[in-house]
Amino acid sequence: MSDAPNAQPPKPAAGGRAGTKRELPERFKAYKHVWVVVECEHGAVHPVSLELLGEGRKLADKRGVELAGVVLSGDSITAAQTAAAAFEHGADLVYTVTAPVLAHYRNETYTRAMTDLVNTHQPEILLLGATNLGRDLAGSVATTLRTGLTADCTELAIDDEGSLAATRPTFGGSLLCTILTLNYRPQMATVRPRVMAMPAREPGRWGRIVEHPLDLAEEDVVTKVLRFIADRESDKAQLAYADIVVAGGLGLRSAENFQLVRALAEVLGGDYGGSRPLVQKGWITADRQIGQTGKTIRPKLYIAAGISGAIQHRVGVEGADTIVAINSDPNAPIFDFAHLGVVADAIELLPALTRAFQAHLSVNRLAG
Amino acid sequence: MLTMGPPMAEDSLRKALTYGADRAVLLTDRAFAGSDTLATSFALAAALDKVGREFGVPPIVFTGKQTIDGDTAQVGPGIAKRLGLNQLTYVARIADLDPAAGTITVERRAEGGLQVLQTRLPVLITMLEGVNEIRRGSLDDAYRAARAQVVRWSAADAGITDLASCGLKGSPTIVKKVFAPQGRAEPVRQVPTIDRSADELAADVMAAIFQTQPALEEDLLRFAAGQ
Repeated sequence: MSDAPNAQPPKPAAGGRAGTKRELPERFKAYKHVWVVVECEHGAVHPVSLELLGEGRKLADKRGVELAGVVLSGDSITAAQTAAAAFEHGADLVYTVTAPVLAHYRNETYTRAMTDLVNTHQPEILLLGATNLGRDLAGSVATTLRTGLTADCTELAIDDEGSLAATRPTFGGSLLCTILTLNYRPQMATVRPRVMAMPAREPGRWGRIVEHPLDLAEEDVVTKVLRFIADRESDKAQLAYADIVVAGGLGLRSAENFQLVRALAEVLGGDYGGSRPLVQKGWITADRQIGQTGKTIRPKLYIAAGISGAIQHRVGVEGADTIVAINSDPNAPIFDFAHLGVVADAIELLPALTRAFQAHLSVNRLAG
Repeated sequence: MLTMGPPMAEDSLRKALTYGADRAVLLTDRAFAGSDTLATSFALAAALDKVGREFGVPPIVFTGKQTIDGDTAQVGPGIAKRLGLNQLTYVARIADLDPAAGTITVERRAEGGLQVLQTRLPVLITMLEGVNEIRRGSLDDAYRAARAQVVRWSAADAGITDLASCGLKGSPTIVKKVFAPQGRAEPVRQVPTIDRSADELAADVMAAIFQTQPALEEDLLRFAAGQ
């Protein structure tokens, strides 16, 4: 990328590359503070919003600015409860927009409320969870505001020049890239659930509430919510929050062998999943996919059997306390980030592990 | 069908024609190189506008939930916003379409359940993968696809004059650096496998896990006791 020949030479700046660092337009200079959209559909605060508040707190402290939660909801009780959760997880202030048209998420109403709020109170950074709601909303808000949006970040930081440095895997590649939004505000990013650690709750922590009006009546909204069909409890995959996860990859060689993964998970009282190729082959359903485009997990123990460990998978499991990798290829990239490695055929080792844990647990239970 | 990409994207369009599509347009121009999602939605929205003028305004625009490389899921919403289309994302099922009334009803995947939404046409729908049967094209479709001309549009052909909104220039995001992920500071501890049977190796692995995380053994014993 090159500037026009007669443009002002870019100011030399530490860490910046000539040509990529430009001056922030005057109209954006007042943009300040870090915002996190706090999702509260159906009365429950989405955990990813609290995880983002923890991350937003660090960014705000580094910038020396405030951290604000944004609560869009249909009634004042939900707004107050969600604001309280935001304060307890690090917010200094909470913007609330409360209107009946916001009771259920709709792109139209939420985009309107959000862009209005951004244009009025002007944040420099706006973070959303990469949930269906967050992605739907972020894309519309960024397009309306004509600003940059980086999806599915795995790391957020403030660079030497005060910009949001958003790191994510490269598109389709095996590398990571750091993306900046230099000349537009707000700098927007989404982060998937479980990618960031949940901050400790500080009971009784409180802050300021700033109410913002929304002049939008139901008859002016085109899209109507006819019904909400809640998922049955059994349908909700608990994978993302499981303490122990066993997963399989193409090293299992056949769909039938995937039951070896399930058997070990069952003995350990854990959950199970697989890498992306297994979903593409139809061996497992999409809600069992572990990795960047599936579930991000942070279990105490993660056992990866026959998974090579491409970057897409790696970023989804790196938060695990202990990663055990079983792969017959000693050069598989999974050994770059596993804690314990076993160069072995997963098809032979998995049943042996199931037997070993079964025996150990039953013997010790009887002894105890 | 419309796609934006390098000339080789024609292969994908031709394949899609064999599934029964009537017409394919490839939006391709060096001016689009380096587009982020905002610049991509600008170009595709402009091309859709032109599609509307040339072939009639589509009442429904479908996009995938997300690309298989970037996975951002931002381009569909971006196009909808730019064209002023009603937006239905993560659609699992189209429950009803009433062309006379100009309405559509869908089931949308939301947090914790399905939203049944009704909106007015024209609409942009981002569809979940795996919810529809893939329709196999007929032999006629295959012949037609082989002969069909994939229409190629440059930026100028699509009526795009604002090149500052395209490609790198039109992208507010900048890739500052690309790097390989670092290995862990502490290298992986390999469990020795030479001369060990599967059962011996399993015992070694279990011991190594409990050594790494002693609390885990207690958790597991408690779980086993509760069963």
